Amino acid sequence: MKATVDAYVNILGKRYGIEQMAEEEGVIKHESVLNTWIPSESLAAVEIDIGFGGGTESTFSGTFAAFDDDTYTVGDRVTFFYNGGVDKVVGGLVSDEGANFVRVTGADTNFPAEETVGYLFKDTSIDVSFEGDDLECFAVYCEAAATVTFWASDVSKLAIDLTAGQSYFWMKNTGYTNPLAGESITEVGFVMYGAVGTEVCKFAALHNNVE
Amino acid sequence: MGTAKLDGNVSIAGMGFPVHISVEDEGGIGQQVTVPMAYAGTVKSGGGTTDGVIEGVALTTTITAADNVDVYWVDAAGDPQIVYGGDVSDVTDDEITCGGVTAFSGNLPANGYAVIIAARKVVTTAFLGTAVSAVAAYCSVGRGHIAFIDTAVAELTVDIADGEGWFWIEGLGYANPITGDDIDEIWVSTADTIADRTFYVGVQYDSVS
Repeated sequence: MKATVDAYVNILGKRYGIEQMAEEEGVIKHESVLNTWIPSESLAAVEIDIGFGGGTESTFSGTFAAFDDDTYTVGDRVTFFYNGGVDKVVGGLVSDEGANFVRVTGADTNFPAEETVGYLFKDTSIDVSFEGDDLECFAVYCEAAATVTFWASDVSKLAIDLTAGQSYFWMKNTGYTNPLAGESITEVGFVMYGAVGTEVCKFAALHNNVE
Repeated sequence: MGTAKLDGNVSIAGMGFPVHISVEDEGGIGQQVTVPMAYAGTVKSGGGTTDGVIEGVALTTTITAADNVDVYWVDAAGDPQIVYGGDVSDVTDDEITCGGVTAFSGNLPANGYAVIIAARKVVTTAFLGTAVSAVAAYCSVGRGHIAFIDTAVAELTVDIADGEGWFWIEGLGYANPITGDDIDEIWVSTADTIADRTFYVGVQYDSVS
């Protein structure tokens, strides 16, 4: 299987290009529609409060109240956006849920203070299995502004903020260190903020998976 | 106001990923530098150290004792390697003594190893890495090497493959590789042994305080 990068930068009318091709046995490809919290309602209707937690009740945990959507199930990975989307808490997993609350534990950082208004999004998670050292090339893309996180057994190893319609890529021999070197990746998670509706995300990787 | 643009596409097993970035800034630097051809040789002595003697160099070499040189080779695994910045203290017949006063950036390969030795060109410049929104480079023919220098210290070095370019642009997803550096020189060389080549460097940056 093959991967190619064909890109150039234009500065002062001069083109500086990369034309690289890689070939390996293994390919992982995934394309799906992102999870949206409530695709048919306005964002204002999904505002939530932190019922308790806020960094005082339990580190990296919080309970989210004041919504009646039953989207979440135990085990879902979620991201909490607040401060107008400027700040976020990633890596939490739903540990309990009911009619008017969702309990989230195991986030990468602490949640903000109680009563902080924000938005809780369920990540679109792709289960994968590859070694970062075996990569020749990988790329991610989303139609909406999104954050993509590469996980190794529930530990975040690389988080990339994508602008709408823009890809991120790495390819061997383009002058940049492999950002996933030394990692055993088990999951790729997408979460977008602010878009409501059908938005496509993509992930693909070319890797050596033959002993 | 200048605009730097990145356009392209990544394809992995037929799945396409578009790449389009556009950034604007007031300042621009464009360099088109002739770099002297390089010469094939062999490590005579100093293998495994930061200075040594390269022998078997063509007698027509234009490398002189006033130069600083880069040494290119390909290791046993087929990966490109380089040490850069060594001084030249003597050129006698087919031998070049180098790295004795200003050491190379790393160790030369073992004695007897085939290498390419190239005189570097120094481009004097002045810009703050933190202010850069795009930077790019390529050599017209052959493998090339570029180093961004802050007060005689190489803050970023890039080994550029034959026929390829290198670039960084804001929004690419990688941290600015020269942020915090006050770049006052750029060192360039080519590993091409056929003829002098042209090295292109472009920088777009916020030049207004």
